[in-house]
Amino acid sequence: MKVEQISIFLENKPGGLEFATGVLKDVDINIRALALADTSDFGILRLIVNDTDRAAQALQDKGFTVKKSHVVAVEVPDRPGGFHSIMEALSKKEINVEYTYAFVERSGENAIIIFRFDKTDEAIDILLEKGFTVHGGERIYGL
Amino acid sequence: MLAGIEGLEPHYELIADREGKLDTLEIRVEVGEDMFSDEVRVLQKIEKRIAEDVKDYFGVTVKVTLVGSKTLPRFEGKAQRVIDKRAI
Repeated sequence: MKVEQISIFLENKPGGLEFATGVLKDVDINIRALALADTSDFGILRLIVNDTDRAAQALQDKGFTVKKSHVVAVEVPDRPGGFHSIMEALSKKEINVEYTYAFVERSGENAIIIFRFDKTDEAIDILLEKGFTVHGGERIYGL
Repeated sequence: MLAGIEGLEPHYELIADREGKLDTLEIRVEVGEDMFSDEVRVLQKIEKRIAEDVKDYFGVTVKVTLVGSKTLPRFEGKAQRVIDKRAI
């Protein structure tokens, strides 16, 4: 019920992001979802890709600092209140969202929201209990 | 001092510079696999910790910049870790 994500450290300098995306292109990695967090000094590129191990290895081989971590993919109807319904389910359970990003499914009917929670397993249990659709990696990597 | 911070790479560089009449000091530290996190706040906490430790040990205010792994020069003999731009 968890999705593997790779995070890449990027210095804030011209060409850094392009170098990373070029490495992924060269090894035929398809990006399924991404988010870039930035500060004045550095950025963290978070990616869900079709082949996590191969992508991470290719980036490491080119000198990037890479980390794999687990995130949670929750599917909700793509309509007003979809995202809020997840927040509502978790807010009273003292689960914190470290960061989140989202994309709309190809059908356009549903959205998939990616979460990094402070208590991942507990969050998954609560969401499943509340009837949410939580996707495992295989579903997301192959989208 | 940097070795005391868990997960920190031993590769660093000091850059002395001048802004107006004030001397400035920047420490550039490589981000290795062990210290890297997918959360911005974790890395910012490390930057803050380094700046605070330097201030405590040496009484100097520094700007800490995290840089990519293996981006700083490596030395076979005595390391030349200080770049003084003030004379330029």
